[in-house]
Amino acid sequence: MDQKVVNRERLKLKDKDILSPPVVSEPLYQCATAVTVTGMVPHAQVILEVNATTLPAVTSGPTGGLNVQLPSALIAGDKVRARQQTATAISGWSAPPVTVRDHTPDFPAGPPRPEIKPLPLFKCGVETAVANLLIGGNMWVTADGVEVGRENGCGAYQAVRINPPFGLGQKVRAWFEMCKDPSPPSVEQITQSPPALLPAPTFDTIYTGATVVVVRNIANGATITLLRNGANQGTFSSSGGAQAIGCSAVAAGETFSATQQLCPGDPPSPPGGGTVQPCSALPAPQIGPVQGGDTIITITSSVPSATIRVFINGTIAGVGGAPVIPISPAVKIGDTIHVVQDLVGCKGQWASEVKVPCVDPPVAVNPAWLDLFPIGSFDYDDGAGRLGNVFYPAEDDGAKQPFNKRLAKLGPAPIVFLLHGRHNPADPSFLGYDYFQQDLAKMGIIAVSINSNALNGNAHGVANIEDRAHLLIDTIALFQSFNGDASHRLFERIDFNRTGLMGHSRGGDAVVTVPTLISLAGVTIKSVLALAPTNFRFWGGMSTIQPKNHAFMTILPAGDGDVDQNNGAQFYDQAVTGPFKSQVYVHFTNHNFFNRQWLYDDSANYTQPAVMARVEHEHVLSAYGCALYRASLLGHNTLGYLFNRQLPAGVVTQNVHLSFARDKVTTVDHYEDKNTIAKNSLGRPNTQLSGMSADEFVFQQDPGAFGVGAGAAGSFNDSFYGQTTGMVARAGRAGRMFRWEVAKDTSMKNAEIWIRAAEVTDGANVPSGSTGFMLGLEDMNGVRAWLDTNVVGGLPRPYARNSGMIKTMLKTLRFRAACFGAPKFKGDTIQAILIKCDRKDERNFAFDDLQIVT
Amino acid sequence: MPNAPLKPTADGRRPDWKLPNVVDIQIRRVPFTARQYKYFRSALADYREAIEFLVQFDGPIPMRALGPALFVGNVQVPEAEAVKDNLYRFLAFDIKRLRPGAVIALGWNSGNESARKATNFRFTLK
Repeated sequence: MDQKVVNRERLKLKDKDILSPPVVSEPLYQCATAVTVTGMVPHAQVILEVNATTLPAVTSGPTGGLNVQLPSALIAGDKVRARQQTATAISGWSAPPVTVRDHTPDFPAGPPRPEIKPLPLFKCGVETAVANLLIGGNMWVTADGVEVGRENGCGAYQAVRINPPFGLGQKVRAWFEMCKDPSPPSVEQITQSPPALLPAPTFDTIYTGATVVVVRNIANGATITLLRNGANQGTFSSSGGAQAIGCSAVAAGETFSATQQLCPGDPPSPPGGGTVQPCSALPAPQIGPVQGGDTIITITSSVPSATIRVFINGTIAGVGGAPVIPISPAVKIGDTIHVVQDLVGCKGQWASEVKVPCVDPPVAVNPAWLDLFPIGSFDYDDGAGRLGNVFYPAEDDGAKQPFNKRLAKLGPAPIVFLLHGRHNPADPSFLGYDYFQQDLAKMGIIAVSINSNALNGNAHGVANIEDRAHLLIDTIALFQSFNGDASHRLFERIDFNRTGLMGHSRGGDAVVTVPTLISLAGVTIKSVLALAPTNFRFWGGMSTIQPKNHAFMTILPAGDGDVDQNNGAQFYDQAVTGPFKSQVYVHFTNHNFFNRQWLYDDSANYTQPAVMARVEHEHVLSAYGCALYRASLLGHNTLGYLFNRQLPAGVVTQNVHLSFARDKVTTVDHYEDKNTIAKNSLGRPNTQLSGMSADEFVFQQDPGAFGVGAGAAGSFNDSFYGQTTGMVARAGRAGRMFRWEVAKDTSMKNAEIWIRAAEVTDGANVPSGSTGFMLGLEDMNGVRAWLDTNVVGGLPRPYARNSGMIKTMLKTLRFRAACFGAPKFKGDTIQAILIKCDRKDERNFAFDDLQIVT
Repeated sequence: MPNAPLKPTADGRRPDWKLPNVVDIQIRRVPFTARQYKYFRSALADYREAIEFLVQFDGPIPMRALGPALFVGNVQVPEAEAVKDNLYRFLAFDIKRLRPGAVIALGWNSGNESARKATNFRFTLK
């Protein structure tokens, strides 16, 4: 998203005293006794309506969010909406109303598991906070089994007072229930002695007119003593981290200071301070992604007590408070959005400005964050070479815990087998994915990591990959025996018809191989994840395996210093789509950092950019891996993360470049038909116009070439690393076009055009400055409408790794049909799709897999 | 068979993946029987013979995901196994593709050109 800051006064914005409807947080479940409402301006009156019955108004605080207690518990089917009011304006009702549901279809094995935050907990703590709660349920905290805090009708993230304060060494857990349906308790936390001296608190920048100050660096359970211009403002308990404290509007030059303290007899921390900055320093708020059709603006950074105003093309469209402002009308592609923030008596002088694109997916909850069950684990070793460890949903956390009984009542659980690759066998490589195994276990998937160090001797080639595949199949057979052993904790707990595989490096090569070889009765491979895999069959001159009859994903580290050809791209290209396939090409990542036991930064083998921190690697595997397995093994709706329709929170997604395909789409051209560039995969003519020079080329390396970056016969140049045939539109004059004819009256209703595309490199250099092209639709009257790649996320730059291995790596771009518009253009049905190269600095472009998706 | 220990480079950031030098190569046609697996038939099971390259190195092969490969002209031979310290057996199955007289080079399966080096040996069958 291209967001810039501009001077507000120069914009001549047409303002009006309006209010946006607040947002009723979803989901709402039966038995909830509270509702969370956000998006209000400070101190607004919030009016709730349940089934057309209006409840007494409640005054919100200074920060725009409120947990409203209800007079009676909600019932499934109830409809809840809200509006806000100030002395001068009243909003409309939030729309559509939120319909209350039964939580058990969403959480059949019980509500999500509470999470105590932030950690650690300390002796003398008087408050803590609990996350991962269902709104309106009941949450309580125990210390050594005794209840010390409770919030009935809680929010999704809830602070709770602790009384009596925590003692030292107490075992603390949070608990939750909705409709008398209990969740598992939180992970048990042990209270610690506080440090001898707590750190000094810090203040977020305070601006003139603020009615909240935010104090940070607070220990969980500490009390904060706040001074304003040296005068004591009182002592406030805190659940730790950041604490917002309300105050009267502040003036420039005023000073604040704060100390924190845990145990009464201990000395307070050194003071931290802040001085109120003038109104002129108030920055513009920052906003999240926005795309055509959106009816909300997400605020990612603002001053807590600010009123946020949103303008579309200079006219007021929404007023409220963070984190979300509903707007009317919906934004359209090409609209200009301005967002400003004001405080009491302080009109912000700076505005964030965004031009609305066609595609800029919203940030959504990270699919790895689903936390339902405690995590049990055990090691296995049959004494005959089958050994490793298992994480699984359990009754409680820890080794050898019983399998989770409520989940078991629902039937057997899916299972994922993980297989590491070649590394020093002195290192326990199989332990390196524990974070990912735990992610899977806490959402109800058994996760087995296989120790294959016995195969990490000095053997190489297809035989070594087959050895690994055999070990994996043999391990599945071992777990079948566990599943049939009445004395085993996994007895009748495993659903082998929902089996997933994940392999790294040579393990990735093996997991791609296994589905072609396995014949164990009762096993259905539903999904395979190949992380930075090798492809020894390709190197040995054999055909590359075509993953098929299962979902497939490969994760490719762009800075891989070991498997530097990113051979997983060959598996992606060869995969037969069904139900879907996904390629996650990640800039600034290496081969090793996905495994916690693999310590060296292999990217340093070449002169190339520094990679991200290890934890960012892990976030990539967790988020996209969980999206894969949740979709394929649990039936969850997580494909949006793989199809670039939403972004996982907490992942450095600007470095992630996705390719994707699914079944049941119309493929216009995949170039595999051997029918020349003149005809597409629909058997219809392709046309080159206005000087276009395009042809079909092989997109792959030559495995036997002596030298780096050697293209296979028939390739355009040496920079292609997958294994497919595609099209290259050669550089030429601006305005040249390529036209694919499709069936007459091809419907575009709710359709998207997907096309894989890349800027072609020469393998040695990255040209300066980005480039792109336009994609067009031609209606039945021959009228064309165009969209630029810049409004669908842009064409990525080649990854600037070592010269000779700079790759032309295609990614999938989504063009939403609803975004196309031109005078007299009737886009309901079309007869052709086009590309037009229109840049002054013209370059070669690569294309593949042009599809119409509905 | 002991593995080559991971030796860091001088800067300590990464393992040193420098390949050893080839001291000798003995080439011969050998009968081949693929490994027997309990659960499937090997993709190599159709081969009855192979060309064996017995390669003596002057040091160990470093440990990494990729393996060492011989390049016989433009044919990569990645199938390899250590026989004893610094002595590896490489097997080529697609015999017809091996061109007599072709220069034999040593490298990794893919990647850095500077890590590949031509040897003083050519492909000839006695």
